[in-house]
Amino acid sequence: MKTCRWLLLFPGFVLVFMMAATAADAPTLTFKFTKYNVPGASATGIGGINNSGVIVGEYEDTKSVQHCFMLSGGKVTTINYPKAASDSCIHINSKGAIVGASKNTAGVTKGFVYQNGKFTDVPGPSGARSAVAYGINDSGVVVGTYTDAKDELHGFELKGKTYKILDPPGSILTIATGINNAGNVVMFYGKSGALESALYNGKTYKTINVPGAANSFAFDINTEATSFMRR
Amino acid sequence: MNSSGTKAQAVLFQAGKFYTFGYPKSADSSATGINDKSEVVGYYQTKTISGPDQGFTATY
Repeated sequence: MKTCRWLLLFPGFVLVFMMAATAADAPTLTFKFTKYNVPGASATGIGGINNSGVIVGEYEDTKSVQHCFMLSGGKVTTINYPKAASDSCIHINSKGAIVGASKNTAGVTKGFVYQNGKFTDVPGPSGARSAVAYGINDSGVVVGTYTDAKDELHGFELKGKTYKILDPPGSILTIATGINNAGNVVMFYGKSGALESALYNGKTYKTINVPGAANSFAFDINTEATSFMRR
Repeated sequence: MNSSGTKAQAVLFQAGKFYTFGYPKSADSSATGINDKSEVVGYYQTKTISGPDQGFTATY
């Protein structure tokens, strides 16, 4: 869990696209921070927060194994996908449905939805070799990414049992990371040696790169804002 | 700071404006989640190059 844990599920691509960022002036907001680490963990990453303030993420135990966790009302609950070698919780909606991914002992990654104590697999579209579920809205629509038979990454949206592939024009890899209740999807994708971000409204893709950043990673979207990482 | 030496910064995009922020004195910060209550979550690293990652919540 050194950098960008969710991306480490597909370790090859992060290193390929790391580029130096250039400085950019930006307006400021006042942020009030609170640190949180899972007790006893050697590392903690928080992935999502719902409107009730319930947090999900992953932590690394003393044996360097990653586990899902949920923090609700000050109580931490570990969520382990059955027989997984490691797992990650990434997002939670207002109904308590959590999305994430598990990795088996063979190193194969598979997405899931966890709700009311039950896991439902999100294996990706037909032919997918691996998948990660990154986002879920209050209607239960899931977004994420999968690798095809050529090990190429594509974004997806899963509504019911129907997958829709999300690839912005010209992209060579896509990771769909968040979806809001209006159905707007954020994603980042590889294009011309850099990682860019886009907003998809169900019909068209709109680029939303951070000004001055070499790479922009859009991670989540709420009703009116989008969270990013920039490099 | 990742192994390539570039710094990650958290960014919020709202009403057409980008706001860059980070956990105080952190080497790297990333904003991974946001809700409708002006709360964001993410993780940061206090040391250069090597972690460990630590989680944060922030309100704005």
